[in-house]
Amino acid sequence: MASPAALDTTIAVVTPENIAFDYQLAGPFRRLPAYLIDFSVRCGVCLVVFLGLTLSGVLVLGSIPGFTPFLIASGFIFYFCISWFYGTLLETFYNGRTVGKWACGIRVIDVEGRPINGKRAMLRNLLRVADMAPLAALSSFAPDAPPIFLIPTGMVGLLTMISTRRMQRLGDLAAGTMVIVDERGWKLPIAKVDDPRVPALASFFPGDYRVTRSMSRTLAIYAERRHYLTPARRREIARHLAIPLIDRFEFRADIDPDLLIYALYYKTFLADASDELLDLGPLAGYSPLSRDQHKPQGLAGDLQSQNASIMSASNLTSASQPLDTRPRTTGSDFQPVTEHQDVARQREPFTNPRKG
Amino acid sequence: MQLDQTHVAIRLRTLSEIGDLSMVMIRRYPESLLIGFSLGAIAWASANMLLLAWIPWQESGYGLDDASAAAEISRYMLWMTLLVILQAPAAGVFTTLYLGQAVFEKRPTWKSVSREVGRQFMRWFWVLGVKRLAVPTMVLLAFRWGQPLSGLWDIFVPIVLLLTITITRGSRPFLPEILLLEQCPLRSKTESMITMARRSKSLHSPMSSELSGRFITITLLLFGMFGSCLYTLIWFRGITLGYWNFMSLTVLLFFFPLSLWCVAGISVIMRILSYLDTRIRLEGWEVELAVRAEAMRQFGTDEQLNTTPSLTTTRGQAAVSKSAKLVQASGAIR
Repeated sequence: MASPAALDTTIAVVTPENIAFDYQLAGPFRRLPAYLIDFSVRCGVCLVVFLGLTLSGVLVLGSIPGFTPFLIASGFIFYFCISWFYGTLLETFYNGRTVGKWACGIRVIDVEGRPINGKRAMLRNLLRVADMAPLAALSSFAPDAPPIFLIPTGMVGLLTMISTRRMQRLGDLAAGTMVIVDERGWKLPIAKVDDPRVPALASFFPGDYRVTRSMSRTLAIYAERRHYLTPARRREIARHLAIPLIDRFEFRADIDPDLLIYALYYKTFLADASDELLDLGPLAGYSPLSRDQHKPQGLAGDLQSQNASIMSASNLTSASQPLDTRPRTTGSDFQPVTEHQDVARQREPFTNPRKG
Repeated sequence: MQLDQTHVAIRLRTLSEIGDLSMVMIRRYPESLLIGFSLGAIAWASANMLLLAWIPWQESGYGLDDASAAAEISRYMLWMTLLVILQAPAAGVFTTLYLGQAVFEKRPTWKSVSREVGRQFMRWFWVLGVKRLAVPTMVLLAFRWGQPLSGLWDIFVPIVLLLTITITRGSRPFLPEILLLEQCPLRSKTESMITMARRSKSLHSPMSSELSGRFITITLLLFGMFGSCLYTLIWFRGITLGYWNFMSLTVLLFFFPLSLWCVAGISVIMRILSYLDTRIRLEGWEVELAVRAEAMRQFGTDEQLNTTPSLTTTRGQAAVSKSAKLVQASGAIR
């Protein structure tokens, strides 16, 4: 969908084994929720430990002299450890993920695409405080407040991420790491064709017609996304390709563009080349070719008249199958198939309901 | 030119990806975005200074640290924030047009962008400036120049304005793009003509709840960025000059509006990327680009359509039927 150098949040990485990967980078907006989750986890753990220590100190060990200062000191040491080493430990032992990163589907890798080691994890986490700079002090806004630098602005990290190709903050730059979206693996789903008109129409494409690679990619994109579009919008998009195809293969001018492109997709990806004797069922009597347009009842008038009653039922079903199974995220644009369109399909199964 | 060889990757994105992509765009076009937004914003920023700068200026004569000064300074900040929010879409016309062209061209020229801004001046000024309440609010503040703090005018009215723009902007966020990039006419006597209002309804209504949610999320994020930006400026002044006081004329008259305008600039970039994403989700824009490009590759022509790639719709195109009318408007990338 875009030129090789198109602006995107992806980056190509060639591993030392000379294998190329495209990674989607996680920038500041993707990393912020992960950071907030990690921050909450750290605070939660600290709170639990603090409460545990307090309770144990008061209830069990309170009678031991000098134990309370020890508990307070332990609490601070624990707070220090979890603040500074939470990220380091988790990223080292959980393949570049912390709890927040796991929840947000991101992880840290090194710039060559390999998992990070402990040294890199420690370096990038130690420099987090620099990325959070400048830290705002409460006293800047309220003169009576104590001069504690509590509020991170994150401007250093943000500016660094904006200015680096891999969206790295200072810690990432120092450690040679980057944060990527942790794809679980993906592939284009093969569209399931339920509409019996599609294989029927596909059989009218010449057997020696072979689509190009770019054409097959376009057909795949179309088939993948057509279920999310309104019928009117599908036809509007499809006609850009359908009109020249109709001219080339002498289809009827009023054929449904969406159906035609979907049929070409079917022929390209789903039809078995050896399946030459396709059973078209009740659709066998119809022809979408322009030369058959004025023949009474299509190619096989007698056959069609015999199957007329079957056709009516089957087309009612088929018309509603691909059009109505899409997700209804609807509003005014997503119009259901109208009664008029259904009637038109009963009469001419391949034609555009608007024209038919 | 191949329609599917865009300079911004056209695909479905989440909100966080949109935010990240806006950062990538800032890195790719730093000077252009800075120049473009400054061109659009400088007039509005100057006007804001004329309308509001008297408040901190007057208060600084008596000292900015006492309680009455705090009330006046809050009044100044509230109005300044409100004005920048109101003016941001109008100030972003250069940026919007530039980025709209940058989807297809690597480096659009400022000449073509400026020509387009000038050509459409009355349209965008009327809709984004007047109808979206930026100019009326400025007129109100002009009448309030030199007046003391008032509960009605300086607390109640700004809150009502804030609620109004939250509702209108939250439900119709992409009006600048419809106006500037799709160039739908403002009104028409012909029923089949796709006017701005019809187009706005067709684009926004199906995704209204999602768009409102995104609007609120982006607003909160931008508010956080504004705080970061403002404190960074104060911090920079502090470490260079050793002067850390928040309540100073430099902060109020320079840092505060500058931070607001920086964030407003980012909001324009995020808005246009959200607009593209909405069209992809709703209208399969990336599919249309791929299909049209393939038609041109295979057959050398894109049937029925001119081949100029842009985001604009053809003015006054007649729709095939009533149900297809709005869809056609939304889908036509001509």
